[in-house]
This record gives sequence, structure tokens and C-alpha cells, in this order.
Amino acid sequence: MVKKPLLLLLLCTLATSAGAYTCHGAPPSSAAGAGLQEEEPDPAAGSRPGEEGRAFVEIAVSREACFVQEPVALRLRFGFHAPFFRDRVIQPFQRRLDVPLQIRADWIDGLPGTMPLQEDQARAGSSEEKERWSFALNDGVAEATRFEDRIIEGRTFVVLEIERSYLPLSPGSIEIPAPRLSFSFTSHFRDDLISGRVPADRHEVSFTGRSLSLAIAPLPLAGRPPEFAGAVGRFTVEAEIDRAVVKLGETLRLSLHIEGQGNLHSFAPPVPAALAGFHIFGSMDEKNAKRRTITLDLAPLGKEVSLIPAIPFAFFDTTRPARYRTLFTRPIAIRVAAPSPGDSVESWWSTLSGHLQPGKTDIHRLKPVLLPAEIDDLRPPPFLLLGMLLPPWILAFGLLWWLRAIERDRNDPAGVRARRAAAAFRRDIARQGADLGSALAEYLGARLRCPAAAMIAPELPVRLADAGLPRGLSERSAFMITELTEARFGGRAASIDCDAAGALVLELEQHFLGEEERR
Amino acid sequence: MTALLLALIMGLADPVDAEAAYSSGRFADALDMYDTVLAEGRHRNDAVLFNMGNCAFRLGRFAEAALYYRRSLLRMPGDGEAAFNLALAEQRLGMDTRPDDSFGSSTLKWIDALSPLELLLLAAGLETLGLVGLVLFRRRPMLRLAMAIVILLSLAGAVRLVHSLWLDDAVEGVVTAREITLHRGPHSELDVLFTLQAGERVRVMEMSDRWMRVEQAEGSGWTERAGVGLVE
Repeated sequence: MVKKPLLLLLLCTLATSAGAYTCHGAPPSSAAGAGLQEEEPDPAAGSRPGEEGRAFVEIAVSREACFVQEPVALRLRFGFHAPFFRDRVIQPFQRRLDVPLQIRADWIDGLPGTMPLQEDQARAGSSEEKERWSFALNDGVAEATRFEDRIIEGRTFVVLEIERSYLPLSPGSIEIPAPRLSFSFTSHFRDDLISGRVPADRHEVSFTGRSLSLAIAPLPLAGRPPEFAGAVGRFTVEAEIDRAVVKLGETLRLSLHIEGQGNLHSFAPPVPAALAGFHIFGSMDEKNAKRRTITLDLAPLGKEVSLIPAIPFAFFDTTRPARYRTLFTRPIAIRVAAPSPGDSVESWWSTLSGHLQPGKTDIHRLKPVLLPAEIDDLRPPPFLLLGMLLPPWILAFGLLWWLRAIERDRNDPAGVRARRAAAAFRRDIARQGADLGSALAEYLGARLRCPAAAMIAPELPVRLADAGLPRGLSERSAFMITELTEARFGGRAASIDCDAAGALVLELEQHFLGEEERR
Repeated sequence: MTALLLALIMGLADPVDAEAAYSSGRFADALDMYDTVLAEGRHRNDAVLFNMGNCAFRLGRFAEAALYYRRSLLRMPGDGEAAFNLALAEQRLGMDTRPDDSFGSSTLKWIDALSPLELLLLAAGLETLGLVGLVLFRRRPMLRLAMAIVILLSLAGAVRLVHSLWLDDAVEGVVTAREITLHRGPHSELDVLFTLQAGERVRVMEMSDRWMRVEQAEGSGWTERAGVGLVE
């Protein structure tokens, strides 16, 4: 009995004997013994196995073109000539299989560009229990269900199938690689005392079916309702409430039951953003194979509320002609009762809000606003920008100048002594009982970058002149040092006082500074 | 309602009354009262806007709530409560508000949470650090390079701040209508470019009495002013 296929792309390849072996009866002597006989599928063969074929494999698909998010069922079907398999085919593993053949179809474990649907999702709507047959699929053992018995060229083939459903994730085309079927057969079995039934010889058979291409179309933009949340398929929606009378301040539960064929588990739950007359506290989303239930916790906002409005549910209906549809739940009448005696109307909300967790399941509470208004200009004034960005540069340049000064002083101690000579002289003469001659000699020594003792010498005027001092100033300086030295060592009072020495140093300092500037 | 009428008649709105209305579940009244409080400008606008967001949220007007929270966040950028409430409102609008915990995103989020003055302080601090480092590490080329980068970053931040505060006339907006259509020009019969949903953020580039040109990742177009609230 052949079932009517939705759209069966019967891509069948059979083990044929062309020049290699024959599965019909005993293999020819040329093919005897173990060996792999492989043949390319004959496109002209279609689903016809040929006279000598003993098995075939094919892929069937519910639709060769579908939409993004529309579940697509792929069926891996294989048929075998039961008497031949019973009498001649060798079990591939130690574990006995109901059908001793192996099929390699890697897409069974995952098809790129799709999301595999769980078996219970895929089987939604079909509760029929079928007989299961074990066979080797990829590297494991799988179970197939009986699809039909097919008579081909006078032979009855038992046809089994295994189904997998996928959700295409993006538009484009999806290539399903060709399945490969293999089995081993023998010309006859003999009985062995120890091992039991053993094959007399072994022949390997392996062949591939045909690959398949699925075209995935995008969902159209035109006509897309604003409520559309990704549901693709064909659905029904119903609403029910847990009670029709609710006291103000209490909640009731509104359940939306969505059933149908499609991506039932994949679309966003159709929770309305707002429901006139109600506050929505939260929602729960329960899924099973056949149904999805979204439960909303609703609190009526006033005693005048008497109806839960119709809730829209939009989906893309893939039945031809495919189009967007919006279903509405029926409006449900409710009655909002007054709060219990003793409860004020104003307190219902506070009762209700006791169930909420601010910052977790609910918004944070109000903020205090009684503080005085702040300046509402959010922009800082432009001068603040300059005032904050300019000082770092000034600071950096100052730091740089200071560091360079330290470095310069470290490299030129004589220069430091020279620059500080005038200050040292003033400090020296300010001290009680200071020796004016020594202070002046120290000053001149520092300025000329030589020891102070070197200043007490007969050729001092010449050395001062060599250092660039004007002749008059050199002579006066030399005279003053000589006079002060003689007075000190001669035990007499000097004719030069601090003011005169200070005036000379001032004059000398002006000269040295002028020289430095000129340099 | 009585409190609102009294407030309107007397020309003064008391936030305490608004809070009382909210606490008793009269959210629409509370929203009106807070609106009056906001217009008077005698109280903290950031908190008033936050509370208006709460009122709109309780009324199920989530896009409006998102607008108020954004306006509140503009005045107190680092406020976690406003950010949480905003995320919740956007979640109710069906927007994807899953947090991105990558380092870059976290850093940007942290910077976004700073007020302009704090940003300015940060830029000045980085600039100081970079300049002082540049001066101190004169003999360490790699450190000098790092400091130069710090200075450049701080200057780039300062320039961006100046641009956003004084030179950029664009204002952020939030779609408050359920859906708005963007046209090629300021007329409803001109081509529709694309549509935006409630709660989506846009940049308002120019405005007329009835129309505004808004920009988003998809492009820019004209829409009626009524459907977009300004975050200002």
C-alpha cells in the first residue's frame, strides 16, 4: 500500500549488477569473495530498482521550497528485498540488527543553516505508534519505522523511513548530501559447530542515493502585521482565565493557548506590551509538543474594568497562498469586585505591590523630588573647559623648566656658584664680625670660577681685565681687596666699609650679568 | 484627580501629592502631577522624570516610560535604577536588552554613565597624567609613547565632548508611537523608506512644525513629530 506522498522526491539508487555482480540469486563467480562493488546512481532509473536490485535509499522532503522558520521534515527512506536480506545478507556488527545494512547520512546529526527540532516537537500531532526496525546509521544504531511495502518489478520491498525536522534559519538554499547505503551478502551460509551460521563468502555492496537541494525563501515584508513575533506555520489561539470575578487589588491569570503546526517553540511569546485596564505583572511560557501556553498575571486597574480585550496573535501562514494572518482571542468578560470591608481603594495598589521585587522583577520605586532644583543646563560652561584643559599644559611646561634647571645646575656647579655669588656676599657681610676682604675675594672667585685664595695676588688687576672687566673697575676691585687684606693682616682698621664694598659688588654684578646676557 | 484639579487651580503642584497618587495606583493622575512639577522647575528634574517614567510604565506606556528614563539618565548618567527601569521598559517593548559584557562594551558603558563635567575631569586628569609622564619619562621612549597616546586620547575625548555639547545640534529621540514610517521627505505621500517600532532610538537631525528628519543605522528619513519624543 503506497501512501500518498506530500511531495516525494524519489531519489533512488539501487544496487545493480552491471558488470559487477548480481543480487538476483547467487553472485556471479567473477564477483565472488570479499570486494567493494560501487556504482554511480543511474539518473534514468528513478525509483525503479531494476530487476536485480535488492535495496535502495532515497531522501523525501515535505516541500522542496519553504520559508525561513518553516519546519521542514526530511525523511531518509530505504527499501530492501526482505527474502534476500533474510537469507543472504550478513550482519555488519556483533549486535544483531533488524535490517543488516548501514546508511551514512551525516545531515541526520545536523544540517548547516538549520536548527534541528526535537523529536517531540517534530511529532506534534501524530500520536501513532509504529513498528520500529533497527539498522546502522552513520556510526550508531538507529530505528526506522515502516513506511510501506513497495512492489518493484515484481519484488516486494519493505520500505522503512526515519524522519528528522529542521528549522531553516536564513534564506538561500540548503544542500542535503546524498545518502550512502552499504551491506554485505554471501552466496550461502553454512553451519559451523562452534560459530553457528557462518557465511561461506562475503561480498560488499555500497552505493549512494541522490543529493537534494532545498530552496529557503525569506518571509515577505509586505503585509507584515506589527504584532508579528516570528511565528511561522498554521496556528490557533485561545484565551482562558482562571476566574471571572476578581477583587480589586488581586490578580487573575490569563492563559493564551497556541496550537498548530509550525515553529511553535521558536517564536517570541505574544505578550502584549500593554492591556487596556490592566497591569501586566509578568508572564510564563510553557511549551510541550503540541501546545504552547503563555500565562499572564493581570491586575485590573479599577473597579470599572469589565472586559479583557481581544489579544492579537500574528503568524505567517505557510499554506498556499502563503500570507500573514492575525488571529484575535475572544474578549473575556470579568467582574472586578470592591475590596474587602476595611480596605480603602487607595490601599489596593500597595497590597498588590507587596508581591513585586523592585530591581529584580519590577521597576525601582519613586525617587524623592523635594530637593531644590538644580541647574538644569547639562553643559558645563565653555570657560570651565579651558580652565580644566589648559592648566595641565602650564604645569607640564613648568615642570619641564624646573627639571631642566636642576639638570643644568648639576652639570655646572661653578656656574651655580657664580650665579649665587652676589647673594653669598650679601649673606656674608650681614653676619656679625664678618671679614669683608674674604667675602669680596669669595665673590670675585665665584664670578671668575676660581678659588677665593687666588684673588689675593699681585696680578689681580690683569686677571680681572682678562675676565672682561673694564680697566677702572678692575683696578678698583684689586685695590679694595689689597686694602682689606693688608688691613686684616696688618692689624689696622680698613678704610673701606661695607657700603663701599657692597656698591662695588653691585657694580660688578651688573657688569657680569650684562656679559652673561650678551653671551 | 481631586488633587490634580486643586493643583491646577492653585497653579502649584506638589510632588507629595503625585507620590500619593502613585502609591494608591492612580498612575495617570500621578503622571499629570509630575508633569506640572516638571514644568514649574522647582524640584529636581532628574528625579521627577524618573518618577514620570515609573508612572508611564505602570500605565503600560512603555515607549513613553523609556523616553522619560532616558531624559532622566541624561541628567544623572550613572544612575543604576534609571538604567534598570529603562531596560525593563525596553524589554516589555520586545527589544533585545541582553547585556554585552565584553571589555569594550563595559568601558563604553562606564564612559556613557559619566556626566559631561565628569568626562571633562577625566579628560583633564588623563591629559595631566600624560603630560607629566611625558616630562618625567624623557629617557624612556616606550613610556613616552604611551604617555603621548594618553594625551591624544584625552584630547580626542575633549574634542568629542566639545562637539557633542556645543557643536552638534542633533538631539536624541525615542519613538513613542507604536510604529512610525520614515518618508523620503516631509510629506506623507512621499516614498516610505522604512519603519521604526516603539522604543527605538533615533537622532533628530532637523525639525519643522510638524515633521522631523531622523537618522538611524538603517538610514535617515522624515517622520511626523508626534511619534518621536526628544531626549532633552
